[in-house]
Amino acid sequence: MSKQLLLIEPDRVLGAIYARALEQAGFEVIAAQNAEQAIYAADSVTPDSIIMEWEMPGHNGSAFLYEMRSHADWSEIPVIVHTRLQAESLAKFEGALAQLGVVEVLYKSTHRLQTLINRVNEHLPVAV
Amino acid sequence: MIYPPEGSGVGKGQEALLLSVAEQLKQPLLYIARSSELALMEDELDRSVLRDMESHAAMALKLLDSYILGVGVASQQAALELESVSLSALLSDVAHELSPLAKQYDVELEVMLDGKYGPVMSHPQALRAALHSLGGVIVGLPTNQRQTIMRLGAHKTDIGIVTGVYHSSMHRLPGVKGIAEDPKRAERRQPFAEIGGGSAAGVFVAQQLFRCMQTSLDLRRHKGLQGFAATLQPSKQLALL
Repeated sequence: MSKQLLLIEPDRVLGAIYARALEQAGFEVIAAQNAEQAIYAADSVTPDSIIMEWEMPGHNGSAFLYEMRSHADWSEIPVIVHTRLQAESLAKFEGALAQLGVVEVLYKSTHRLQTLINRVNEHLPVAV
Repeated sequence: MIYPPEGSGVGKGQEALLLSVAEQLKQPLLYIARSSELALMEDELDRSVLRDMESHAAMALKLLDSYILGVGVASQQAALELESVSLSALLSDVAHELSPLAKQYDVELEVMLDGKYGPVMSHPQALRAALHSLGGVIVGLPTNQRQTIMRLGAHKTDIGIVTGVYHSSMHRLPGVKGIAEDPKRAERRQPFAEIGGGSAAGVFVAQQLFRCMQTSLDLRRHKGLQGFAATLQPSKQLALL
């Protein structure tokens, strides 16, 4: 059974490319464009991993993660931040990123699709 | 080519605009970079991916052209010379240019001219560039709707012909009553974070172009949709209606 990923990407066209690459790598992708859609998804699915843009319409990533971590089922899911921001813009969130269980930060400008796929695989929880 | 005059430096507003444009250009470049990477990972070449890449490249080039036009006029500190322009023809042309991008975002594109009026006083190249820049930003607005509409519209009011670009999910800009009322937004890295993945540079490029045409850009409503629009004055030239 394929692993489920929740992909939160505000740009629908860019999101479709990431989803296609992840699907080809064997994942099932649930796509959301913003925090609202992602939280809505929490009612019906518990993904194995979350890939999210930090800058989302109406919210930043920390607001979403605080909300998400308050759901018991979602408290341990590994989160990869995959962002168009640069490292210095995220520096002020360093504490929050660690506290909220972000396992990796990838930058869209420099990290290729294959790197994203590799990192997702590395951080997936191991089945007991 | 435009060069800042030696020793003059670049004004703070222009610096913010330049940063915003650079930030916005990441989106098409990311699209092209990741699409080509994906195409190389696949066994068969999907030609529709090439078409989509071409439309993103065209959008990026147009944004740069519009930015250069606006900065060029602003640096001369002179308004553009206005002439009589047919809105219906111009809006249809812009819609045609935006249609490949609208298709990618699954957005229905419409042109709506409400009421009868003749040509307006404007600068055709700048007006086209401004509307195109607005459309390029607004088309990617996140939406939960089954049917998303982007409209290039014009309607007559007591003070002139209001012309702009509207979107069915534009209500996601709560509390913003007008760009002019919140100038600090332009200084932020992502001044219209509500719009989605970019810096919305096209809005500020359009704002600059409209200023050069002696008008301003504001949030407006048109037949149930919200969007960005400017008021243009009717031409006194006789029109064949």
